[in-house]
Amino acid sequence: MTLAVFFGCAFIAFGPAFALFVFTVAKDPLRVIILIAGAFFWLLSLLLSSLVWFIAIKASNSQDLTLQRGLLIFGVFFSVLLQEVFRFAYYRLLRKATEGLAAISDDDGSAISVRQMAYGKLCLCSAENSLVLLGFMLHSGSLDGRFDQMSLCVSCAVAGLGFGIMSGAFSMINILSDSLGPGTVGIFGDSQYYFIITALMTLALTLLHTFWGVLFFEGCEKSRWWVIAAVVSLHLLVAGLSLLNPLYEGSLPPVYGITLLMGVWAFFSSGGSLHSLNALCTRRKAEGESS
Amino acid sequence: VFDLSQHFLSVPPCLRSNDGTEVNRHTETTPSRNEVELNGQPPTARPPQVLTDSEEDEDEELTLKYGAKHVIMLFVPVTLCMVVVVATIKSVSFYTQKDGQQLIYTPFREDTETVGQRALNSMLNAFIMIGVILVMTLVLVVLYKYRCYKVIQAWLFFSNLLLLFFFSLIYLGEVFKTYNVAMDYFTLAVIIWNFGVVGMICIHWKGPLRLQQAYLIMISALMALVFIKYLPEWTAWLILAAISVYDLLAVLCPKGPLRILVETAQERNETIFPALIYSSTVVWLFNMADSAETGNNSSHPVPQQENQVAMAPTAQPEDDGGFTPAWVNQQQHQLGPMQSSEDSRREIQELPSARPPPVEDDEERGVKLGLGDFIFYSMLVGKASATASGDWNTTIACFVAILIGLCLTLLLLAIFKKALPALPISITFGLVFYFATDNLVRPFMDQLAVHQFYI
Repeated sequence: MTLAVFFGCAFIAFGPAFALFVFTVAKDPLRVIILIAGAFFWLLSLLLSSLVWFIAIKASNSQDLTLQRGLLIFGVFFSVLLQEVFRFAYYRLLRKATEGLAAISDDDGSAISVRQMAYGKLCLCSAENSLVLLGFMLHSGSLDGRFDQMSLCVSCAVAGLGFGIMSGAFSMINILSDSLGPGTVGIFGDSQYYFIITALMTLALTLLHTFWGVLFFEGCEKSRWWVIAAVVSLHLLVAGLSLLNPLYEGSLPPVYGITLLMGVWAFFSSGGSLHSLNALCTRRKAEGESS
Repeated sequence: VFDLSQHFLSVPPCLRSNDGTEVNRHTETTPSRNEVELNGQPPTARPPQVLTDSEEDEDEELTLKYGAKHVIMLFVPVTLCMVVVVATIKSVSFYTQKDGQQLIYTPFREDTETVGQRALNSMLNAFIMIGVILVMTLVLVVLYKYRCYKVIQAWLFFSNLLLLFFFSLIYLGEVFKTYNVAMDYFTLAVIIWNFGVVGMICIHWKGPLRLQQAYLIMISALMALVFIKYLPEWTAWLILAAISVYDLLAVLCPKGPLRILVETAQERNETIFPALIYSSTVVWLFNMADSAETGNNSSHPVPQQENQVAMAPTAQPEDDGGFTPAWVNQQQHQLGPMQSSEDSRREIQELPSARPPPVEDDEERGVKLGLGDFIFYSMLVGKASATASGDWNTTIACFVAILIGLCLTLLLLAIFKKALPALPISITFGLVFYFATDNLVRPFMDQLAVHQFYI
């Protein structure tokens, strides 16, 4: 039972994220770096929020259980807000690096003359310089050297994936390693579906982070602040729904509904359309017929 | 109890940019001193140094082509080494058992009555260890200055021998014990013999690139495991912190031993310590096309013997096989920033690597990293997985922190283009994240997992 549960939950939780990684991120070194940096930013946000929670815990009465639970809920919401703040900060960093390069690149985009960088198109602040150089350094190893909206959009999606993977890893891996050992789930009367629900929630959150990354970018680029507000409030909603656990009927289906909704919204907002979906299918079919 | 004295020749890591890189490849000039100074200065009111030095766009683009690809070329082996160490720590309990044995360089024991005594002992231990490292570096610098290359080579050879045969024998024995595999001595002897001999050949002479890289990763992992086992708790953390500081000082101070080493090697136009480096590319293919241009000395490449674990000389074999020292020097002149970190030759260099289409200005560069970096990074992550009660979360956090530190270090190198220490940023991030995750994040995540709240 243990090995089966381990592999089952691992594949449920990390399968799509792994597939996304292999098919879209692993080919381009730039994207791998953006992914890891996204994971780092999420980690920073978690660190700060747990610091705040820890201080609150230490300052309060540890015997009072309802207070502890209340503080934990406060910790959850504070952490969500902080994650969104760090998502915004990471977006600004990516944008700055990409922008600086786009400003100095040639029309064909790929050959960046260093001389152009040198002569005057940069602001003289060294922080800006290092950001531009960061962007350049990252882009110079990448497959497509075009510094445009598309690459920023993809970068934000990858950043969202980084957030999601890190969040999933932190939620899931300890539980996975516990599931390898002997034990009976729910022997004290808790739900016996603990592992599988955790895996499903982790999957949902990973995908949600990816979609939110894309939507956040959209909102910031087009200055549609309502989109950003929607992303933040939906994140708070999802965290709030998870507070209903172990009433799984109340938390899991709504979360998956939201995930689906976000997926569709992100698809359409990043430029997809029914037409392109159709074209994809017919092209596949055509390729299938011709081969 | 085995004597590890041969292995503690440590010179802390340093990241170095090759000051001679701005020389145009078609003119064999030694790097001029004013270019060196120019490169050495941090960017002030002008755009980054990397941009304004060389005359030709071709050279400029060469130096800037070093980018994301090279970061990934370093991520992969560092990750592999960490994975090996963490997997071993988690499965083989030998490396987390404290038998009471300690290295001779850390004589003070930590099982004392009071906390103050323990702190004092661990500080003394760290002090002694750093002192040993400093002395070894100085010995190395002296040997190098007086051209006692044979001594260094022999030293290195013997250390590698010990590592490849003896340590791997112990490792294999412990793995067999863990998985309860019965093994006779004859088979074991054949396995270890083959492993060791092939390793010595690959590392000291020639061999397939992947095999060489695999051996380097394995010996770095073995050394990191030895440190994790034989260094007591507080001493290990203090040593990690102290060696980052030492690295910073040794590389950036004008009288630092590492800086002296680097400058001496540059004056002599030799490769600095070609041994003990992990190389990501095969360099000899390119050599054939370019060797006509150089044609100089036959100075023997000095195997660099720094670090703790005398790792075998790696990418540059002493005899030919395509890598003549002259060729390597020439490559260094053509290259972009070269980073070398001390500590067993932690160098991150860039060497043009071979590509089937003729290379004009679109060479693919390789990256080199000294083995000491591997060892300390893996040691940090291994200790995190061994001792942290937060278990996997702490390990993952340290892993991400170290990778980001490596990325930032490479970025700084691209900006400053001079000798920079390789360890400080990564180790600092790693330490901060270890203690923060273990003490702050772990209780938070545990509580969330108990209630199944998700953030």
